[in-house]
Amino acid sequence: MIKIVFGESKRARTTIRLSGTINGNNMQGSGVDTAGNPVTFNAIYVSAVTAKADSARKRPAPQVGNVVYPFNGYGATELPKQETILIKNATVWTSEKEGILPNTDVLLQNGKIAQIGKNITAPAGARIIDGTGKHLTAGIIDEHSHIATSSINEGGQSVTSEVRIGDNLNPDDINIYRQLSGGVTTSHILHGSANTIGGQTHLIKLRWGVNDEQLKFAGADGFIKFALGENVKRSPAQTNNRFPDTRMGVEQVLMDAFTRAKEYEAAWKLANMPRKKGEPAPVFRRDLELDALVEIMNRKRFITCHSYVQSEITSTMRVAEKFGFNINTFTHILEGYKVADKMKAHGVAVSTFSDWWTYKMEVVDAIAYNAAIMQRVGLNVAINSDDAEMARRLNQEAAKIVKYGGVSEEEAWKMVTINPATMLHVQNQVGSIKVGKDADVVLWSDNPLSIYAKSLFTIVDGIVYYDRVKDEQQRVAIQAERNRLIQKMLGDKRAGMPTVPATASMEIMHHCSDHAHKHGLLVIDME
Amino acid sequence: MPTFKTNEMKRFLLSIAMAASVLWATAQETILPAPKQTEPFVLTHATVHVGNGKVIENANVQIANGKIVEITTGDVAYNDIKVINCKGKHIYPGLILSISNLGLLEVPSVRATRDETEIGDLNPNVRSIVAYNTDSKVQRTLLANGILFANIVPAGSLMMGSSSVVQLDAWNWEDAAYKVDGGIHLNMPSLVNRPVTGFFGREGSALENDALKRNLAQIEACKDFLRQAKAYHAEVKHENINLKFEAVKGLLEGKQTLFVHCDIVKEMLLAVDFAKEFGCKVVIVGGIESYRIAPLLKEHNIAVILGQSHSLPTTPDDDVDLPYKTAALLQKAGVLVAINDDDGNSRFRNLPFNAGTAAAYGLTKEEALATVTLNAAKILGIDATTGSVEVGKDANILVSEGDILDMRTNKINQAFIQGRNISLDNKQKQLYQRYNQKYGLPNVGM
Repeated sequence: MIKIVFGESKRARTTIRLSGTINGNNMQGSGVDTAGNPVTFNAIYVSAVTAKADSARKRPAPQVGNVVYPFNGYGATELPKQETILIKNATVWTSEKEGILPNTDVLLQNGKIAQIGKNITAPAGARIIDGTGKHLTAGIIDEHSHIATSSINEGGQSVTSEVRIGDNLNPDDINIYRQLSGGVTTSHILHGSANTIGGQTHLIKLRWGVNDEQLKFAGADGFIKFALGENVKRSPAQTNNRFPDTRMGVEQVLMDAFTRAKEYEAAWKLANMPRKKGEPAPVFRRDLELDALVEIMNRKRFITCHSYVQSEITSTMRVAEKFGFNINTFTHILEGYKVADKMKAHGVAVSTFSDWWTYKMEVVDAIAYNAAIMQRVGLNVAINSDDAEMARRLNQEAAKIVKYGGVSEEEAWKMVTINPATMLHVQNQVGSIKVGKDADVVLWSDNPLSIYAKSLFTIVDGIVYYDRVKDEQQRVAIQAERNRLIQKMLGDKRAGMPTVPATASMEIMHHCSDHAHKHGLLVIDME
Repeated sequence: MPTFKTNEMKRFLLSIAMAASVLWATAQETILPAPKQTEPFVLTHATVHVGNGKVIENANVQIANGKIVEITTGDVAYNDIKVINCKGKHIYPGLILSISNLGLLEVPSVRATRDETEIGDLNPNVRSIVAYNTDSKVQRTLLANGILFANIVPAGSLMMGSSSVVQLDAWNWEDAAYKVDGGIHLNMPSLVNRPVTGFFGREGSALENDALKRNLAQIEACKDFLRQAKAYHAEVKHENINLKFEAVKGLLEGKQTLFVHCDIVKEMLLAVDFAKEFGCKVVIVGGIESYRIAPLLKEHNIAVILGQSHSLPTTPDDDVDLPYKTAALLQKAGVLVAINDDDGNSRFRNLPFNAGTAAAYGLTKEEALATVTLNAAKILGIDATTGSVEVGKDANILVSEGDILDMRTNKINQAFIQGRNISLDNKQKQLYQRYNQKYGLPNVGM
């Protein structure tokens, strides 16, 4: 392999970079010209050159780039602003009883959906978007996601209900932007599945460019992640020396935790009882782990439980019933179709994959018809991603529920909008196109269930966070900035500044399901 | 009471028997590979998507002895031959999964079910076909989505072994084999200059320069191996038979293809070197950065099998839709390109939709279809007999209600492999029926 770096002329501060292979007198390969465009080249050896002495030159003042939010290629110098937007003459998928409305206008004002109807007059200063031939939907809500975090598993113990995803959100994650491009506006960021009782989750809106606190979905109920089966048994590992190692043990971890929580709550009540003057209060030590479990028993915190096979689904519902609460959501739930009637009786919602199966032992009976069966039995069904790649195609995942099981397009679309909103208790704010709800909407180029559909605009709180035309312009800007930085480094190198060899910037990707697919060349997959 | 003629009575009893067998079929074990085609038949009035970019409207496709024998258009009278009216439907070539561990690995997390990766660096003599499990539960979910062929590829480091193309409706591997040992697979050692990873995958500070040098040395060792093999085959008589050298004879004679699994430009340039030095046909597998050197690949006639379109871009600065449009970038440069589905979670059944995504991002629908049919067949060396709906080729075809590249309309009514009318039932459909029965629900949308 060879590498050739040279200035295009003697005075030029820009550099042409080539690399390739040598075969005898022939060289060939590829590289980048001074403008940053890729080139390929062929060269033939003619004769050797004699080196000339370099003469010193004056260095111009350094050029400093703009500060952008977030601090990466797709960041902006200024955050996008809330706008009054009138989308005219679109096919509107309301995710409400009104169904799919042809040739309809929707007005977004002050961050809310202000008006839905025909021939709405645009308020002064409103931006008008022609929706003719296009489809407008509520933004997609992903019930199960692990993007925008710095870590997801506190797996040292089987019960870690005191840890909180909300304490380590990462608003700079490029996957926020990538998922906006796929029409996602709200994501439920979960703790991982390394232990039975995991950490507290956090609901976020995909507001690209804000800080971690501003990502948070205001006023949403608190949730917590539970997990069952192979992941908490540490089945993928060679060995396990942490209790539990079986599904029998998992049930007892739950029994033990809530028994302790019950006693803790009783002790707390005793310590806080009114008492006579001078009578000493019993010693009471606050326990953050048990506090969270007491919240669950008092229906102030809600469980989303990673689950696969029917035995563990049933036993977990029975434990909850013994302690007088409900499981709010079973997530993954690939054998849910086997006990859909029992789940209906318990009153739990379900959030699943469309067509994943046989990537581990507990999913060999997973079927693509799972969502259809559960929906027909009467459960509230969502389709989730648990995957930074698939999350940008959740519209297609919903489409598969039409293909596998014949659910109507309208009902399938609800599985990524109003259904997850309802199971996350935010159905009054998001999940459908209804007057008064948050202006979280997506304008699609085609029927949103089609593989050919692309998001043209993704809007959160009336703010355009993804605009396909602007994205094209951004790419040009990224290319120019990238080239500027590389040329600067090369110029410095030629001027004798210190250098370090280039290495790849790796990206850490979190997930919780022993994924068997690759996430990319520079990704370190982490559970 | 109605009276029946004997024939009608037979048919009536047969339909009762068939209905009963559907109810009893609660295990995949009762789904049988289809028998050999005995009677000729014709599919009429269909829209034929040939696979080579062309579409024939209102076409009639006649099939006899497992082959496509005639294609006509319009209203044609067919006597003495079974007619299947496909008015309003679409005929496609059977889809081809270009690179897969199908049948070598049943449950990725269970070691005992993994027959994919052999130990050692130089295993060109390892053959995927002999371990291919026709009774995996996965094949039948692929057939139901229109995937009729797969190239079964071993994994490993460096020389991984030979691949064979199989048809997916078979009793055993010999029955499944369509083209045996057509490719030798080289897993190019990575030339990505990665930072050393520390505890839990976090970045360390030192560089892996040693790893890069080691990987370059491994590539050289691989070339040395082929040079030695060349010398071995130049000998008139061998003192000892060397199975590894014997395994690459076809490669050195230009009868086998060298599939080089690699992604970045440097790695691909070295793959081109193999083609130059050993005069063998080289195909790039993976090719994340192949669009950067498309003219060079075109110049050397090197085809690319891309990994699934449904992937994330490599770096945060990349175009958000780069993996979706890579196929179009290659096609525009004149490179022969196939698209694969190597998804370990959905287990390869989304192959048509990966092609559909390429159609949404730059290819025409017919070009996108070719990436999973005729282009794949050309790359795998089976285009003389399959990959398109053309006279003289094997009748490996699908009948769909709509556009198979879109999950919204992909609904396969019938599939034929060498004229055999194959079952589209699978374990998942059977479990669906089983639980529909439990809850009293209809068996719809199958």
